[in-house]
Amino acid sequence: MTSNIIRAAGIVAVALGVCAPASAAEWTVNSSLQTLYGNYNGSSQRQSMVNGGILIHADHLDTSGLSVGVNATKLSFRGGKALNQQSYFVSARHKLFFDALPGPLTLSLSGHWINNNDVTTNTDNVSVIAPQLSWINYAKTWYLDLGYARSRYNNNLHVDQYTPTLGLGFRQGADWLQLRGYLIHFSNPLRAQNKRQTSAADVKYSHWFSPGAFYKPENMQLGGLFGERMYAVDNDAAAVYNLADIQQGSLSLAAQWRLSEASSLMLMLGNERYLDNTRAERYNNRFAWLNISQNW
Amino acid sequence: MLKYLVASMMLIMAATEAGAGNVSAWSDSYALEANGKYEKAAAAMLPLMERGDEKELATLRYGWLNYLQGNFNDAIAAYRKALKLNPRSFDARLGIALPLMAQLRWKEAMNYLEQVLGQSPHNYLAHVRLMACEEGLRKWETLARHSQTLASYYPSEATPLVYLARAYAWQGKQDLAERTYRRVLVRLPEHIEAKRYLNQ
Repeated sequence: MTSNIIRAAGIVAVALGVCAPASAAEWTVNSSLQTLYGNYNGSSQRQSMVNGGILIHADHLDTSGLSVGVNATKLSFRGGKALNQQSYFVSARHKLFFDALPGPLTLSLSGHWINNNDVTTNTDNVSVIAPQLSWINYAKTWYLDLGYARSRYNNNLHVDQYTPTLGLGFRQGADWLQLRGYLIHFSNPLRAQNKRQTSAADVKYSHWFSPGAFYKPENMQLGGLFGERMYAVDNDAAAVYNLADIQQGSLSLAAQWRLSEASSLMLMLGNERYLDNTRAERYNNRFAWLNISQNW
Repeated sequence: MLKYLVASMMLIMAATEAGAGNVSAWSDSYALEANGKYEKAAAAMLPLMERGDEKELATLRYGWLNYLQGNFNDAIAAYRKALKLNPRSFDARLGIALPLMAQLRWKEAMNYLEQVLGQSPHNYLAHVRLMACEEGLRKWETLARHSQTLASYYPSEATPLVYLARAYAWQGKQDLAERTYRRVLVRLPEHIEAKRYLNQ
């Protein structure tokens, strides 16, 4: 498994031209440690979820980058059983600058690999490949991207996801609004809680504050999901929702504090609403997510 | 003998005309630039980039004129070509930083500027452009340290103090920002940014 991931990372990097020889000074590295705790409310099956991981981004000057991530998740069920999962993430990106466009185009290609001890094997051995084309103008007032993700699951299921995204910056960069559509098609409705497709809109609003006392956040973010989505792939969060039922909405609030010029801390609190169609059961996941980021 | 004399005279006249043509191409290009006709001014440089004693200068000027037109990729390519012609060139390094900064490629621009400062540690222009990159990357603590040091080397200049005041303001150090903007106004009494900050 590990050798497959390393090989895949190499292929992704070479495909996007990331592996050009360069001196160490031309690379900048950022690492982030993250942990999540979620408590399920109203579910007859699920009790809690704990997740921890590390994500490392290495960027060559302003044009190319490579990210790798590892995550471990424990999903505890009522009655004492638990599902343990390991997930691996690799992504490469390359920027193209055209004078005809008032901003760079970014090509990225991401891969996810997931293993767990699911006795049904339905959510084990998942692989995802996700290309994305994005553009942002130099003034950082417009952002567009088109993402696609192809997920392969055991037992006759593959999932196609399209994520068109629009971002708008205003008030001289102090505010940012991002709208992302999730259009997800399932090859086998019997493996997708009788759904052939789902659609949802993810809305995020960020505000950057003027500097102040040390306890004042640098940035706050309000997020909401409307509609339905299942087996979603979130490349911003480097996450695959392979264990989730049908997500029917979410609301979250995050605050980020700048600890130093090179480090920051982010805390997010939120609630996700789910439907388990096979049991006709609705439940909530109330979660807290903590991220500490350091530039090296 | 007469044949030799006539041939020599013709050769000298042709060379003089060619030289005059070159000088004319340079002066035409400068005049076109002064009138804002950057594309034509750059086109006048094209033949001079391929031959002659001044092909390095013509290449640098072609990069500059493309930068002025917003043809940042062509400008970068020209400055890289100038660097190949003369790997020691500070002008090419300082020049290439401009289109890179216009494309928000701060780290690449910094890379070239730091090469200049490696050879010439107190090069004012390299420091000023480096401060602009630090501002672009929002490295306020670094910018404050850098601009303070530069202001001590160039105490009569207002620009390092403007960057220092901005760095203080972005760090929420309003008293220091105000004091620094007042120092800017001593040097440039009509400085719009300083007046606006102090009147808000």
